[in-house]
Amino acid sequence: MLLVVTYSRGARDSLRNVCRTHESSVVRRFGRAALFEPTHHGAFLALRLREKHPGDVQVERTSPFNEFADAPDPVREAARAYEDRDAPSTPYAAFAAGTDHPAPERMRERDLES
Amino acid sequence: MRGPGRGEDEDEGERTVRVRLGDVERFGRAVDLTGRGVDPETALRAVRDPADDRVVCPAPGPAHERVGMVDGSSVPPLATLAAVARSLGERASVDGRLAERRAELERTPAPTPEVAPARERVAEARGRVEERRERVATLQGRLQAAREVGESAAERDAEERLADAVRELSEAETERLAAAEALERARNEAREARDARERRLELQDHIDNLEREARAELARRVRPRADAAAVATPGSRATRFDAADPVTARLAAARVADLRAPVVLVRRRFDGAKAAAAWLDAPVLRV
Repeated sequence: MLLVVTYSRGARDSLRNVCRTHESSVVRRFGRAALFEPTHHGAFLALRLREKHPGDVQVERTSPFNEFADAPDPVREAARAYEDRDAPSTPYAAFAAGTDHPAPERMRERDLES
Repeated sequence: MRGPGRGEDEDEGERTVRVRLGDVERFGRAVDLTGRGVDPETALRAVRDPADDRVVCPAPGPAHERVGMVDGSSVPPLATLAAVARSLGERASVDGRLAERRAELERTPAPTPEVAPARERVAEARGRVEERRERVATLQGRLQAAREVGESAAERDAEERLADAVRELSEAETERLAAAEALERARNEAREARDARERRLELQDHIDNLEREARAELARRVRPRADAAAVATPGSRATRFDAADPVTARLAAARVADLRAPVVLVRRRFDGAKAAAAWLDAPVLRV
C-alpha cells in the first residue's frame, strides 16, 4: 500500500478532501496520514498531493508484515514471553538478561530480511 | 469658507478624513456619496490602503477588518466581537503565549526534503543494470554459438564483445550501489526536514487553539455592550448580538468598537451620514 503523510495544514486539508472523494482508493486515514490502495489510481492521488504541496507530502510504499516469515523466531517468542511476564514493572532488558531472549541492543542492530 | 467641490456634508473643523471619489472631493467625518456611482469595495479598499490617496484617513484599527463595511453579508460573531475588543485596547490572557509561539514558528525553518532526484537516479541505475545484464546474456549465447561453429575470428570477436559488456555491467552495478547509498543519505536528510515541518505544523495548530481561546475571552468582555448596541440599533428587532441580522450586527459592533477610519455604509438605517457618524461615533462614508 502507499503510506501518505502530510506536513502542513494545506496538505492535510487536501488529504482529507482526497479521502472523502476517493473512498475506493483509500484503505484508511489516520489524522494527517492515510493508506492508499497500491493501484495506479492510488499512486495518481499520492502524486497529485505531492505536486500540489511540494515538500509537505511524504509517500512510502508499505508491504504486509508476516511475523512468521519476516521476524526471526526468537524475536517473536521474546515478544510473547515478555507480554506474558509475571512482574509488569520489569523492563525488557532485565527480563531478557540471563535468558535465551535477544538483548534489545542486539535486536536494534539487526535489520529484517527484505 | 468652502472650497470648490466640497459638499454640504462637510463637518467644519473636522479634517481627519479626505475623500476623492465619484468625481468630488469631500472632507469630514460624515461623507455622503450616494448616487455618485461609487463602488463600495473600491471605497473600502481606498479607506484601508494607506497608499491610496482617494481616501486619506487614520489607519484602520483591528475592528475595521470586520465591520469597516456595513452591507448585508454576515459576520462571524466571535471573531467580530474579539476584533471589537482589541480595538478598545483589550488583551487576552493567552496573548503572551501566542506571541511566543508565533515567534517560534517564525524561527522554525521549513527545509524542503529533496529525495526525488536520488530516487530517480536509483530507478535509472536499476534499469541500466537490467539492460546490461540482458546484453551480457545475449552475448554469452552468441559466443556459445560461435564456439560451436568453430570459427576462430568470430569467436574472438564474440569474446571481445562479451568482455566489454561484462565491464559495462559491472560499471552499472557500481553506479547502482552508489545511487542506493545517495538515496539513503537523502532519506536521512529528508527525515530531519520533515521533523522541522512537523514542528511547524504542531506550532500552527497550537497557535490556532490559542487564537480560538483569545477570541472567546475577548468576545466575552464586550458581549454585554454588543448585545445592548444590537437592541439599540435603528431598524433592529434583535434582542442580542448573536441573533441579529447582518446589518444590525455590523452596526452594533461598529458602535461598540473604536474606529478611526471611515465605515463604508451600503445599507441605510440612518437619516443621513451625519446621524450615522454620530450614532456610531466613527467617521462614515456613505455610498
